[in-house]
Amino acid sequence: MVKLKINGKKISTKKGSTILEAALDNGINIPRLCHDKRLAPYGGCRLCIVEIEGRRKPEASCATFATDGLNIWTDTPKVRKIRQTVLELMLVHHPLDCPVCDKAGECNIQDLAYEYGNPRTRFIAEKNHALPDTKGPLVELNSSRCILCGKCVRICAEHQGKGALGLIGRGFPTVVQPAFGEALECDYCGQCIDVCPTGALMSKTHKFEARSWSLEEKDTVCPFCGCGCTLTLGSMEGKILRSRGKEDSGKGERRQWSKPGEPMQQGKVWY
Amino acid sequence: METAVRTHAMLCGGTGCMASGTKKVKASLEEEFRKKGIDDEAKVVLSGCNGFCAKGPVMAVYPDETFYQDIRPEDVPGLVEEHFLKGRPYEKLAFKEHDKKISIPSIHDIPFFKHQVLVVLKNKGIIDPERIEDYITMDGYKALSRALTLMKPEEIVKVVTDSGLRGRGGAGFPTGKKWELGLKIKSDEKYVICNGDEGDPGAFMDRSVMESDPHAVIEGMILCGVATESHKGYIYVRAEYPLAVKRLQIAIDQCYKSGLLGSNILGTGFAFDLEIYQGAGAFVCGEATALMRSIEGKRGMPRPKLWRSAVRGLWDRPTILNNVETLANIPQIILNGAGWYRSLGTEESAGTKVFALTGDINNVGLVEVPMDTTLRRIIFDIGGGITKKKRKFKAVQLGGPSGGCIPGEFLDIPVTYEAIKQSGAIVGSGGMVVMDDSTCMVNTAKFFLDFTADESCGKCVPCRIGTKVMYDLLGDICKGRGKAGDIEILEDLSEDIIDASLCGLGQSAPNPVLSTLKYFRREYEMHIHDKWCPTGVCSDLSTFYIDEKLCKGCGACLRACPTDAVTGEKKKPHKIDQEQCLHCRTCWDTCKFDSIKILPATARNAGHAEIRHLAEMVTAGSAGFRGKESVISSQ
Ligand SMILES: Cc1cc2nc3c(=O)[nH]c(=O)nc-3n(C[C@H](O)[C@H](O)[C@H](O)COP(=O)(O)O)c2cc1C
Ligand code: SF4
Ligand code: SF4
Ligand code: SF4
Ligand code: SF4
Ligand code: SF4
Ligand code: FES
Ligand code: FES
Repeated sequence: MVKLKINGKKISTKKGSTILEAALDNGINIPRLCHDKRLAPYGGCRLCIVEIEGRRKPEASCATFATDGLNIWTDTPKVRKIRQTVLELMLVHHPLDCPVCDKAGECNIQDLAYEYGNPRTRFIAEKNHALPDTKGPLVELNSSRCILCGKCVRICAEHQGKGALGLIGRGFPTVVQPAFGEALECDYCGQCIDVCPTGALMSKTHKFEARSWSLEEKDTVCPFCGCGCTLTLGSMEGKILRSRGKEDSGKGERRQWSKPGEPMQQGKVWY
Repeated sequence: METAVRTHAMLCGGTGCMASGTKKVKASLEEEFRKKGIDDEAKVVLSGCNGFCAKGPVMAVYPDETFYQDIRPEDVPGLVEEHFLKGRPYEKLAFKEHDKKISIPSIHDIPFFKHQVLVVLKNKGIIDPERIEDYITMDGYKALSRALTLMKPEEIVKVVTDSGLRGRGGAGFPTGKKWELGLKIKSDEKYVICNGDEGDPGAFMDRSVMESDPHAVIEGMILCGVATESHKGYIYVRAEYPLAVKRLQIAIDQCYKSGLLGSNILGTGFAFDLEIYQGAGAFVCGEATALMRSIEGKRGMPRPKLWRSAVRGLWDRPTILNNVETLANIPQIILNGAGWYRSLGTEESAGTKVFALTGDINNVGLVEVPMDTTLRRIIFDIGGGITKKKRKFKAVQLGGPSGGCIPGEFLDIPVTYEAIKQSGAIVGSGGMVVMDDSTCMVNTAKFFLDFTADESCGKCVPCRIGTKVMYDLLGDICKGRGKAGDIEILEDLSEDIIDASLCGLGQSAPNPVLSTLKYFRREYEMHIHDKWCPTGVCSDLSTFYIDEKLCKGCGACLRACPTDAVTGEKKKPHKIDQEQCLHCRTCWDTCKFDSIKILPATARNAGHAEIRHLAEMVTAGSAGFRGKESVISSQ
């Protein structure tokens, strides 16, 4: 076990844990957008930055090991300022079309901006007007809302072993795209949609069906095969409108694409 | 037989000289030798880059040690006649100091070469880089055979540590320390990587080393393998360096043939394999972790440093990565000892460093100097000073896009890691761009931010978006859309980008802005508050005005102007029609009498009294933003 201090509180954690894991295991929340416990540390969003006493620079907690004797502060003025700047930068070109974004209400950017955001942006820039990529049958990709956390790309490659999505280009114009910019062709497991912290990757079939806050969610076991995956079904007025997998539940996480009553899609789609 | 050859004409076959016509010169030289019947005693050899690329094609004749520059095929008959037949230097092609008539034929008297101390570049221009025999003649592979037969890995590491050598790729990390860790980590699969990505704009130090002395790099890598008990190496070279790739490949093939690479090196049983990996040439791929991902065939993106590369690097195996120049130093350190290397440079910055000297100076090229050499010596003695007579030194940019601009006050500091860092720049990989006083510092900062924003890999937010926002802000300032508070935003944002970025690219990207803000803040303020680019580089922020009291009516500007904006009779003051002027600055560059003044954009429609007032301020050198209010409103 490793012993360290976070925000003055003595905690211990398993050897090989990152600072973020140590904090979360001990009930200390650190904001983050590109971290997913199933994936290798990425260090892209920089929101999870913390100050470590004795180190010259703040470090990303998701990509730094917790080691003995560290004295970590997760909410200093410096760290808060960096988070504000990072969020401000993320939103410089973000369309902020929350009124018509299916993610609204359960969007990580909204929540973080609410907590850390700078109410006055210092930059005036054109919004990203990229049109949504609706070529695929089930997944809609709104690159204008994408913050390039890379989670979709990584879950698809590292977890599903498919690698159907990739990061194309470099620097500011980088975008997430299916291979060769073609229509997304994959198993339609929907993992990318589930991990996306923004409204960039959304279910096409669920589009404009219901605001997230009017859905009533219930966990259930997928009846499709013997695997017994846990699904979270969202329903409104008695109709099941969407299903999603949750990070913490079940063995596989599968989703249902078809609207109730519609035929299933060739065994790729469940329910 | 080669022994019969009396004279070697070492014609430069480096990338620069090749581009300026080496091939044709070689053909005419050979033909002329044949015509004069001396082709069995004089031989043309293509060497690697000689460092004096701007004067290419260049040639050094040995054993006479005579240097020729700017050789055109049509000069060859004269050259052969004079030098090779009559035995006297051919004045026409000899080096002449700027603005002086006297030619300096001996390579040892030319200031550009005289003040250099060659360690890494010791073989440049005197060996044929495509012949292993040439390298061996110059003590090549002697260090390797000594290390393999007489030294334990620990001993090699100790010599490198004691030599004080620090990484030449940018960060200046002690090489011995890196190797020590590399040796300590035990693994049957360990890699040695040579970083030849060299992405800084204008830098060509590593390319030159790889082109002119590829075996030195290879020997350094094998020595690193011996010292860290690794058996596999990669040389990562950008694909834009085809000549370097070609020569390295030739050298590697020769090594395999001669038993210097492979499973039983020099019969000692030590195995080391080496291969070249051609990178696509992104700047960020020079960053250690991104480079390794690139070799693995993944997207060249840096990864957080949970582990040191020496523990988990390429394919998650222990990896020792060094820069080309770092490795090329190794054979001589082993051969001549740590003490010898330490005797060059200073306590903290030992040895020599190669700089790519470019910009507004006379002798553009590659120079190698001990690290205690001052900037003044490099720029004025070796570099020959500022090209244009009427211009003065303004600043020197060191360290490329991660570095900074240093003003004249610092000319007497040595080029050590510490002193340069203290001044606000970094030694970096050795790019040195000299700027005269016609350079706009805001525009210079914008140029570097454009580069980093473009080269950012896009992984992390502060760098991907932050550099773009900074670039846009600088662009606004140069276009006349600057606002009060912009400087503070730039400074504040820089701080967060430096603190929050994932890799060295983002962590250093704001440096060009911060250093120019530190030393040339008034220029930013003039751009923002006065809409005035005092150097006339930002065309939206300048008015070109001929001071009628100073103009001699020589007509030079009138002839140079691309749009007929200048009018005037001979010997009478000329005038610029503001409607027609493109603000291209050509007239200002042309005028020998300093009669053209660069005024703020607002002067285009200003009354005569105001223009006179501004012009007089410029002449008196007191123009520009001072304090809260702009000069224009306070006149
Ligand atoms: C954005 C970026 C670009 C870099 N480019 C290069 C390069 O082109 N060549 C190089 O040798 N090192 C480059 N480096 C430094 C390397 O990461 C690494 O520190 C170096 O190659 C180690 O070798 P050294 O210790 O011999 O200097 C770069 C670093 C960063 C952050
Ligand atoms: S992704 Fe979030 S912040 Fe962006 S438009 Fe959708 S709800 Fe709003
Ligand atoms: S689409 Fe979503 S998950 Fe994928 S990179 Fe963009 S924001 Fe992240
Ligand atoms: S700092 Fe820039 S180059 Fe480095 S990882 Fe972040 S985005 Fe990529
Ligand atoms: S700035 Fe250019 S266009 Fe204007 S007067 Fe001078 S030379 Fe002509
Ligand atoms: S070059 Fe100078 S001196 Fe000659 S006419 Fe133009 S402004 Fe006058
Ligand atoms: S969660 Fe750590 S950098 Fe994104
Ligand atoms: S290429 Fe010839 S001197 Fe550099």
